[in-house]
Amino acid sequence: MIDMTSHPPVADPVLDVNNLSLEFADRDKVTYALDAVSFSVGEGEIVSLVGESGCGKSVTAMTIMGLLPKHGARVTSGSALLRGRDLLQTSEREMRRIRGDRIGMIFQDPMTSLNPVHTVGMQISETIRKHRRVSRGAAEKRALEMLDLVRIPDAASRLGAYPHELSGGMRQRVMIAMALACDPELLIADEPTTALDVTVQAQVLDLIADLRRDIGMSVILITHDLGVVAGVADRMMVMYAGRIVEQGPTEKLFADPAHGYTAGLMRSLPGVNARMRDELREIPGSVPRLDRKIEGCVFAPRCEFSSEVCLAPLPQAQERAQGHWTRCIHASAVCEAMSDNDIVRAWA
Amino acid sequence: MTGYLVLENVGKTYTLKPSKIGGGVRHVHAVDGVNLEVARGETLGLVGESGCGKSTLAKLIMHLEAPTGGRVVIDGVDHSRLRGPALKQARRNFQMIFQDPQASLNPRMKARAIIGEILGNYGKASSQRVDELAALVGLSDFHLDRYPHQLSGGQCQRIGIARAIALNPGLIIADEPVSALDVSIQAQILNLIGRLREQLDLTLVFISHDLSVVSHVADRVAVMYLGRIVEIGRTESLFRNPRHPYTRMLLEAVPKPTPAKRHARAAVSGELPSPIDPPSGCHFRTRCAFAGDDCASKVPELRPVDSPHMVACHKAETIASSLNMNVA
Repeated sequence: MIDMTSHPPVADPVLDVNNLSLEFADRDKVTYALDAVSFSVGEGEIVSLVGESGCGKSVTAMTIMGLLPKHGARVTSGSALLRGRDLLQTSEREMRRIRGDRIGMIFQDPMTSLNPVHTVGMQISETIRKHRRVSRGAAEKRALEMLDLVRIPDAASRLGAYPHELSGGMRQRVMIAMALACDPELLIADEPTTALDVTVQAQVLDLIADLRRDIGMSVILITHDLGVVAGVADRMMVMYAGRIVEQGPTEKLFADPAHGYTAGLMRSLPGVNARMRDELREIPGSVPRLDRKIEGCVFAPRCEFSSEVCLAPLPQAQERAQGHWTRCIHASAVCEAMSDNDIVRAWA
Repeated sequence: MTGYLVLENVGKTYTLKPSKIGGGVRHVHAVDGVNLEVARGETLGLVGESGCGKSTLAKLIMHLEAPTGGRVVIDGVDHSRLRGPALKQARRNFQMIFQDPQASLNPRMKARAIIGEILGNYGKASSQRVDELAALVGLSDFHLDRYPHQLSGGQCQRIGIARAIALNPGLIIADEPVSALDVSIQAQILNLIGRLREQLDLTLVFISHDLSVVSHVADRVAVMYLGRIVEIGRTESLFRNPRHPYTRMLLEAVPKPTPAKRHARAAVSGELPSPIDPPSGCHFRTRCAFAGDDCASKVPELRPVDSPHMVACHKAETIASSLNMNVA
């Protein structure tokens, strides 16, 4: 088996995921959901896992947090080190202490992630009291501080509000406040702005970028939106069919895309390459089924750059530039073909 | 210009039950005095944030809701006068494509039956026509013999489109047709809609919150805010030179895969006010940096600034001279 144990090294990483593979086993069916996923998150860094539905970005996050069902989901290789401690070898009891304390999480839909029958103040203090031995009053004070931190206007009066009394954007701020209440080392944000309108999305993304600057938190931002990645991420990992196909600094990947899939994504974006009414460059076909191991490049059947060699077992990821790694054999051809792409030109 | 679709001062007011703890009857003006004309074969993009009334407007055009004011005329016919069988026959001419392709298909019917059903409703059941439609939207026999849950989102949306064009309508309302799809699939569906529009000479109202998608498909774009159209113009003109401060805000807020504005803070302030009790005068004034006294007292009318580009803003000229923005 060929794997990608190697990935761009990060000095003193908060999280270091190495060669992570995962299968979902049903009675008679196995799905190879993650295949040798490797990446690191540095101190105060915003990294983005980007890809389309079903590519494994959320499963990666769920595995790291130990939230997948014990039966059914099976980690077949790899480690996920949080400051050197392997989360995959940690007991559920211990993980419960780590989640919400050392790792904060926010999800796509803030309405369904909040408890509708408790006030937001109560929900934030509950998180704090779960992890810290503090009095009710102290927890409430901290909850108020957190609401201020996420810029909820008139925070004191909002402590007593129920989730349904808040707008979608405010609810997502409450989720962020709750996730950060215990000063986590790492925030995992899974499509945090997908359910929000663009203007509210812009505010929430600004908030995440500001918090990184002010309190130096590390963030894994999971998104399908290249625009969001371009706006806030320092580094990005492009995922397809359970593998990281390309990763590197955001500017590098946009200026010098070196994988057929990344190129395909960038080309299919409407509006940017806009001459009105032009045909968009579509990626033909659809995502492969993962019920068998794919030895060669997973994207090859849909890739316009692919050739015979792509179907053979893949070589190690190649480093194209400092910290920029790709698993594409035709990386140079992709780069060249993309040189007149509007997005590439804008970053170059 | 006599439009294929004409909206004359169309309004829809919903009345809310009075609260048990007092207070009078309250109203939501979901759509408020909308005037629109869409020419035959034209594509109008309708954009705005959730709650701005774009879907209510779609329902009014589709005659799924009756307007509380004004008229909707499609191809010269005001359907509010029609009832029963006459209305059913008229409905053939205007069809809809929905956002969630999976949810809008009957899970217990195979694709073939779903497309066939609408033909059967009009006594036109024909397996030959079903095959023809499937070919038009790029589905094969393999797909036709499957249930919606066995198909991907993109394939389901193709079924939705086949159903919408089955009766040769003149007008199609597409309400967020690609919002639930991944980008690579989104491109396939947008191209399909574009091709069909040419082939079948369709008039299209394309509703979306995604401005880049709209900029790609629409000939003209209308921007809605709290039930009113605040700006309308040719796509290029509106995107290159937005005249309403709300349109500017929307365009700035769109995350772009280009580095240009990376560290520029999006000039977004505040949130959408409640549509139950919207601000007086210009609804946008509470979030607008340029708002003055007259914005609170007078409702701005849509007026031409650069014909056919129209804007409903008292301060359009002042803003244009104080800013020089180029978003497109």
